[in-house]
Amino acid sequence: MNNSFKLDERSERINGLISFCILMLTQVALGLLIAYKRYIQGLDTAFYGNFGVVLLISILSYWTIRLYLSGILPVISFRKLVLLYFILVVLIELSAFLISGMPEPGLWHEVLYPFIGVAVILGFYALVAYLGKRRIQKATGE
Amino acid sequence: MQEIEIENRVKLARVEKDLTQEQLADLVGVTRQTIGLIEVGKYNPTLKLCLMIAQATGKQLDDLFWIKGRKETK
Repeated sequence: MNNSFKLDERSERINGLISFCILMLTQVALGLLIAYKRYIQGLDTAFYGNFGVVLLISILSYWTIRLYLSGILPVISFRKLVLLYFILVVLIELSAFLISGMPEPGLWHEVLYPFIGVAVILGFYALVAYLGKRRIQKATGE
Repeated sequence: MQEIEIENRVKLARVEKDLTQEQLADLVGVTRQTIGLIEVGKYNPTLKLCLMIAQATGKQLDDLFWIKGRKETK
């Protein structure tokens, strides 16, 4: 009888499933740890900031790679992207103004955050969607 | 979403070919446990493995695997 340790497609599928579950559990645990340190212990950002960075990198890299490899994100045309950009910026600026009012004169640069943030997020989305689609098109010879 | 119920005749084909689970597993490069689970319908093999099993048992793919039914799932 062959007793050698063999990895086959079923083992690889199980490995993938377990890795996914453990990654999700780790991310949730990190999120809970940050929330505990911030809201229960009332600690300063310096005490949990590193965990936040690790969590952000983990979530961003996981979803970016997953969406890139699956190539399922719809590619939005440049015109629609610009329109979406302005709608989002106006919505965020407006709600920030309604909630907190105008920023202090010394903190005027806070007004720019939505402009930069939305540009980074939409730019990142457009890049991943385009590269993911191009990868599939290359593989299928389209 | 649709869930597809797949049935197979792998065990019959293996016995007809006078192979043990271990021998078939070695021929197609998987573990005996995987062959056992395929035979009882607890594991859906990839197309590659289905083709390798078909080749090893000298059967056509649709003689070994077929769709029994479809179930609507949420």
